[in-house]
Amino acid sequence: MRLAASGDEAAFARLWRDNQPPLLRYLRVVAGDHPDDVASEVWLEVARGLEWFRGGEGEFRAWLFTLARRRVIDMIRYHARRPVVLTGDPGILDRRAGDDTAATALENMSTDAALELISTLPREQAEIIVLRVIACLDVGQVAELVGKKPGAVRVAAHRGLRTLAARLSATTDEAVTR
Amino acid sequence: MSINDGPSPEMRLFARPELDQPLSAADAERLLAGQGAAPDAPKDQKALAMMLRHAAGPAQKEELAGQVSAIAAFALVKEQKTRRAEGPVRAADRRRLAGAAGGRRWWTQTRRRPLVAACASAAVLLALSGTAAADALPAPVQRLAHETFGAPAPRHPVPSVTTTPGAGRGTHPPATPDATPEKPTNSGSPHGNGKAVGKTAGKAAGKAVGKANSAKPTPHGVAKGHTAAPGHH
Repeated sequence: MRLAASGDEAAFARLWRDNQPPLLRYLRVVAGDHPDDVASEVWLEVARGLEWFRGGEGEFRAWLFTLARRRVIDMIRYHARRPVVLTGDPGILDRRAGDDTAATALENMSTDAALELISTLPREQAEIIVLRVIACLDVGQVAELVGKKPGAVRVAAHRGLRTLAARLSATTDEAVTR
Repeated sequence: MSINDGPSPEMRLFARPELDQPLSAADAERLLAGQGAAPDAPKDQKALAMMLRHAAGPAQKEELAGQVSAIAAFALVKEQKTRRAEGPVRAADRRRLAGAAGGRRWWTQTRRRPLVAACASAAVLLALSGTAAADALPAPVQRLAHETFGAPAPRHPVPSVTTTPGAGRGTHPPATPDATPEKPTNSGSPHGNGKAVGKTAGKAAGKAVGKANSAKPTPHGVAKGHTAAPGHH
């Protein structure tokens, strides 16, 4: 972190490689279209402010996602459109190899399909689950980031997980009986 | 699709969640922390844990495609910062140079010019108005001021005054040229400037009449002279 903050390009590259995939996945869930453009703007902002950053990897990640969230909010306000479209696509889990068993369906489920399934949740629940599971932030960091109390974050995440589990169960049952 | 097929996939997707076993807060926290489902967890929890593991899976090739441009942007920002570090001194120099070259003075003058013109116009107008109010302007100009914005009429009758047709319609004959040069005294006139002018004209008329009748002008003559002078109120 210190090397990257002092302008070392190799250190910045390592930082980018570690954090770009979760950042893109977060943006895909909460921002919908053009996650790459938003991610580029976020990294530019990181490059400008990195020399003043103090903290470890965890703090950096929290800062990175805070910047990303602000960008997404700006974008939503600008375009005045919903970032997440509830497609209700029941075929999400069908993107798999030939075998029809539920276990194989889950094994072969791609990252894209998993993200799409998370995107079917209400925006707040989806965002909190992504920040917890993909960005690996703890409850306190997520609460600070989304401007809610830790209890509210736990409740939203719990509800989201229950919904996801039920949807998975329904879809995999269907896959087995088909 | 028959009635025995159950709800459609769409309906199942948005139906109220029904789980084999309720997801406890501890189980949820375990899943969110990436620890996976417990060994004895129901199958829906295991499926959920697997799905979350996929979502947080290793980086894909296309996700790392922009590395080169990201590092280039980082290098560019670093270079800009280095330049900007020298910036304030250069900016100060630039301002100083601009001042020395008269750039700032030119800008100030450009903005001051209309203001100065407006102030000068206002001063001239004020001076003219004051002079007109004091009845100290040359007679033609004073008359113009009188007609334009109601300044006092000129004390010295102008030729147009004596030759106006209205003057001949008075009781007394119009003032003759030999009566006009008399300077008004204003002493003891209770009627102000306008009246004094009328008085002068009246005196002149009275004198003219007096010359003809060998009699002194009366105060009535003054009054009549006042009425005889057109434009004098």
